[in-house]
Amino acid sequence: MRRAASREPRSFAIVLLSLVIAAVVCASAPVLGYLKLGTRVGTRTANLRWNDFPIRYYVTERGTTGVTAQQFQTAITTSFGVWDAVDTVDLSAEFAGFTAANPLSGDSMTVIGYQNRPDLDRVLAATNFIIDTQTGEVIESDIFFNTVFPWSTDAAGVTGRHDVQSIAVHEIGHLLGLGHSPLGETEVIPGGRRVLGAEAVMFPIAFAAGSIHDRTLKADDRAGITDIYQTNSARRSHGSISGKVTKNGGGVLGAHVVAFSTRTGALVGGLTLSEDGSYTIAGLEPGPYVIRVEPLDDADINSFFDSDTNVDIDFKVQFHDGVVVVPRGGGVRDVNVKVTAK
Amino acid sequence: MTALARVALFLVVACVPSAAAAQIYPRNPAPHSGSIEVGGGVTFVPGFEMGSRTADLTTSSPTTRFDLFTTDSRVGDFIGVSARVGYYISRSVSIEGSVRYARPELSVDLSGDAESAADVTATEIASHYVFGGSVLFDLRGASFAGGRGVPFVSGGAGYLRELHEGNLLVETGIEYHATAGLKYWFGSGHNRFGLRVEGGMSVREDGFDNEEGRRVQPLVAAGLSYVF
Repeated sequence: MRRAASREPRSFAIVLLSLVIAAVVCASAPVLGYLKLGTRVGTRTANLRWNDFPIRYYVTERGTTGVTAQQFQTAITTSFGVWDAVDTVDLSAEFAGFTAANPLSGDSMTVIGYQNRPDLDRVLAATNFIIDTQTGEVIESDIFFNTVFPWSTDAAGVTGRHDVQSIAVHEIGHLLGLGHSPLGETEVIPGGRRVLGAEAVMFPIAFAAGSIHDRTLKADDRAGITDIYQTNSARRSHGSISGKVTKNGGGVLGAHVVAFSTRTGALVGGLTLSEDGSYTIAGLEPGPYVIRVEPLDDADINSFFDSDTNVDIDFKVQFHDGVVVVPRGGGVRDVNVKVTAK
Repeated sequence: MTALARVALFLVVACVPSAAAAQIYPRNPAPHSGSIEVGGGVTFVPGFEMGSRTADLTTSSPTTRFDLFTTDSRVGDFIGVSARVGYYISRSVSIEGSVRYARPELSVDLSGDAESAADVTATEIASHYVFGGSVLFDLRGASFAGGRGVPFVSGGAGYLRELHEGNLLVETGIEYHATAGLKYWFGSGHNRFGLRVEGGMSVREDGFDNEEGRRVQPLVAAGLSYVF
């Protein structure tokens, strides 16, 4: 789900839960945060991913003010291509044709299109899934773009209109199995938040209407998609960092951990996902990194975790005191950071 | 002066050139073609800055970035130990193979955090190896102290192999070097010990360096040699 700037975000889980009701046989996935979406299977988590390629998608035959159905389809196809072009992943998608079907239809077709959803007046677009709850395999995923907002497919963007391709790249990231990335900074303003900066297309809050920044993937997005669909060669050439974030001897859940490559300048974020404060950041290019930990306070926590998750945001921003070296084809462990309460 | 004294003086005068020649050019001088020189010592390489990078975020403005924090990376001064073996292909020219090992400290200063995180210096200890080959020219025409002191010049290249802490990641590169120095031999026999000092420039390419391209560094080395 992508929310408009300066609006209070809504939980991605809300839309997913509505899908559970719609899907009789296949249940949907709760959001676990970090870079990947997943579903709990007993005590383990099955990550959402597609197993059959190309992903065949349909586009609704309706346009909206300022964007024809053909322009919309071209932007969607280009957006799939942005993810497909990551050279460390193995995935593909194929435009199957226009359709009169609506997104969110549960018809075994992956449909992307416009819908008029005034009830979701803070949601630019949202992605829904029908999945195999035992394996995490995505069976169908639909994306709707809310016609409550003004849209554009202009190459340079249009002030006051949201760029279809920028939002589509974000939503297709969800469709492929990525959750939201916390890699951004915001400030609270009346009525919501303003994005000061973000270094991930998968950051949950969009730049102001007219921006086309999110047409281009960032290092964080590439690392996330590599984590899910990595090629064999990427498996051998990329690595990971894992460890724990603790406070007063206990784990910190929901801490935002950022790895920064001092060599390439790449910023890749992750989250501690369990009560013991464990985290893993994968899909990293080998080399030296520094680690920074901060509270998850730059977006609504519901954008990353289920609402009943006890996320700890009461600690100071902290750097790890070592240079962390990511190996090729392996992981560096026990990169632990102790934080202190504010 | 008695006849005996004159004879003695003649012998002394006559023998002086001969004796001097014997010190500089012994009948079978060492080193000579086929001699082997082995040695070892220490090498000092001054530290260097590996550059600054800012962790920054895209903003709504195409010309402005949001700075999250800044990093300044550097390698501290390091002293390595080295071993070498050389083969004289003539009295003045030798070829040499060497290996150098050191444990430099890589550090990153983290500062300027947008949310006021305390500044930190993050560090790691790396392992640095250079497996090199050189050609040495002994400048015998400039020798001194009766031939004991021999200046030389040297040039060569090496395979740079650097391992980050825990040997998790190997980074390789090339090192070129050009030095000038001095050997000072003790004794005049076939087999000799000597001191060797040299200084010059080293050019490294790749390895654990963050910067693209080549980096020129001074280096100073000192050690012992044995020739036979």
